[in-house]
Amino acid sequence: MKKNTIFLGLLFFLSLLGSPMWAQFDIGGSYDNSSTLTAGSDPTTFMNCSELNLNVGYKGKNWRFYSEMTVGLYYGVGDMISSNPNNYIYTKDISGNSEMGIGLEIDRMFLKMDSVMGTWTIGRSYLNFGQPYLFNSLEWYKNFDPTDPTATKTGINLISLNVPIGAFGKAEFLIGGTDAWDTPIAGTEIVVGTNGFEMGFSYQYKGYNANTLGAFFKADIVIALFGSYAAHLNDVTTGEGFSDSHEFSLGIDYSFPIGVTTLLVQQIFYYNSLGATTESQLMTMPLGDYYFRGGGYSYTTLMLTIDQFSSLGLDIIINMFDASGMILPKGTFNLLDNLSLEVVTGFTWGKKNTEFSPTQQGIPNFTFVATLTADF
Amino acid sequence: MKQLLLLLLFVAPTFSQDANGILKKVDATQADFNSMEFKATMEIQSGSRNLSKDFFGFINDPEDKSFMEYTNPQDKGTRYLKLQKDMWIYIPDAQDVLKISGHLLRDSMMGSDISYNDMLDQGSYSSKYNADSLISTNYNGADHYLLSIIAKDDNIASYVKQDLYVEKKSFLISKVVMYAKGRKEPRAVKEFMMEDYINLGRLQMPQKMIAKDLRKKNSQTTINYTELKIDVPLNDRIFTRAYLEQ
Repeated sequence: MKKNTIFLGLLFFLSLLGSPMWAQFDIGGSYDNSSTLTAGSDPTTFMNCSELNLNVGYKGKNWRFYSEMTVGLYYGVGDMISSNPNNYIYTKDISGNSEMGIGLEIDRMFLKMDSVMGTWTIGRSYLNFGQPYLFNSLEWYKNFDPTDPTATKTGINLISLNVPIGAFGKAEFLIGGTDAWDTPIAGTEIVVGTNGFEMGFSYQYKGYNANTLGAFFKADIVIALFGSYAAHLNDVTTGEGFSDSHEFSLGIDYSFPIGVTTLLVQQIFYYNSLGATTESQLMTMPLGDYYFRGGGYSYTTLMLTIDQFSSLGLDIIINMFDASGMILPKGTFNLLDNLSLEVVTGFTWGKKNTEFSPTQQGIPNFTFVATLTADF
Repeated sequence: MKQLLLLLLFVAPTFSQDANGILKKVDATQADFNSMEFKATMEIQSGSRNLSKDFFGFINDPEDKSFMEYTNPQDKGTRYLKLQKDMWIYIPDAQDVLKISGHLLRDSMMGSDISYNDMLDQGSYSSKYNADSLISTNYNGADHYLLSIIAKDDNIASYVKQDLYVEKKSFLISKVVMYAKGRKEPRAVKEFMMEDYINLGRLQMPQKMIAKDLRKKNSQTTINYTELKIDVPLNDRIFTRAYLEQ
C-alpha cells in the first residue's frame, strides 16, 4: 500500500512533467552569502549568513499559488546580537546561534484568486502600506530591514481583498495575525492617482487598542516629491499609560545626467514624535517597529549607474537631534548573468552617548558587508 | 526675388505633404497596430562583456498603455506598467509597487542602451510627431528616404526629433536616430537599427533591433523578438495595478 502510494505520487508528478500544465509551473530561487565584519570599541566580530531561497509558483486561469522557503546556515550571528541586543531585531529565530546554526522558514505561501469583487489573497504574504521608501510612516511588519543581515523576511498570515479602482487605483481590505495568531490585525488602504500624482489613505488595527491612521502621496513636478503621515492612536505604553504619536516623512528625488550616465539623488526627512530627542531617552527607548530610536533623521542617497555591470552608491543617515550619523558607500557589480556582488562599507560618527557614536555599545566604527547572490 | 519667394511658398508645403504622406505610409506598413504581444531577449553588450535579459509584454497603442515583465532568473517577476506618462514598477522581493519618478523614464533600463520610454513607448509615429523634412539618401546600399520628424508636444513624445531611414521600396524603417534637446540644436543621442522584418498580416515588424546610446563607447543593446503578435485582443485588466500585483 505504501509503495503504491509512493508510485501514484510519482506518477502524478511525472504526469505533471509531461503535461501542458508544466508550462504554468515556475520554480526558481537564489543563493545569498552575506559576510559582515565589524570593528570599533567593541570586540571585532565576524558573521556569515548563507541563505538558499526556493520559490515555487503556479498560475491557473483565475488563480495563482506562490510559496517561498528559506534554508539558512548562520555563523556568528549570536555574537553580533549579544554585542548589542537592543539594536538588532532579526526576523529569523537565530539569536541563539552564537557559533553555527541552521534556520528553515516558509517566508511566503499564498493563494490569489480573482473574483468579480477583486483579487483575494489567502495565506502568508508580505504586508505593504504606504510607499516602499526607507522611512515610510505607514510601514508595518517590515519586509526589508537594513540592520538585518538575514536576506529574506517572513510574511504575515492574512486574508485580503484587493478591489481595483479604475486602472491604477485600489482599495485593499485585510485581516490577519502573527504566526501564533495571538495578535489579530486588520487594515485597509485606498490608493488613487493620475497624471503624475498618486495618493493613498490607510487605516491599521494593530490589536490591543492600537490603531494607525495615515496618508501618503507622490507627485511628479519635474522632480519627484513624496511624503507620508501616520497618527498612531493609543499605540504605545510609556509606563504611565497609553500615548499617541505621529510620524511624518517628506522626500524628493531627481536624476542628473553626468556624462554617459545619470546620478540619482534622493533626500528624505523623517520625524517620529515617539522617538528619542535626548541622550537619556536614547538609552531607554524600545526600538519597537522602527529602524532607529531617534526622533528625526535626514536620509540622503546617491546612486550612480555606471553601466550594466556596475553601480556605485552612497547612503548618509543623520540623527537630526544629536548630529551623529552613518555614511555607507556601496557598490553593486553584475559579475555574470544571474551572479552579482554587493559591497557595503559603513562608518559612524558622533559625540559620546549620541545615537551613532562609535563609543556606544554595539555601534562599530567600521562595518564591511559583502553579499554574493546567485539567481537560478 | 518675389518669384523665388513664391516658389518657396509653393514648394515647402509640397515637401511637407510628401513627408507627412511617407510618415503615414511608414505607420501603415509597420507601426500602426492596435495592440502588440511579444516575448523577447535583450543582450546588453559593453566591449567583450555582455548580460542577457528575457521578458514579455503587451502594448495597447491607441490608449498608450503597456505592460512588461522580466523572466530571467535575476530579474524574474519585475514588472512595469505604463499608463500614458505614468509608470509603476512591481518589486517581487518586496511584493510591493512603486510609482517610478517621471524623470527616471528617460534613464537607462537595467544599464542598457534603451530607456524605459524606448521600450514601452512604441507604436504610431504620426500620432506624436510631424514630418519636418525629406531627402533621398543611400543606406546600406539601398535607396532610402531620410525623413526627419519633430515632436508635436515635447511632454508627450520621448524625443524632440527623430531621423527615420525609410527604405523606398518597402517603406520599412532601417534605422532611426533619436535627438534630445540641446543647448542650441537638438543633439543625436541614440540610434536604433531594425533588421529581420517578418510579415504579420497587414504589418511588418522587425524581429531584431540594435540600439546604441551614442554617448557611450563600445556599448550596444540587441533586442530579439522571439514571439510577436499584433492586433490581438488584450484584456483591459492587463493594464491595471491588480495585474501588476498578481
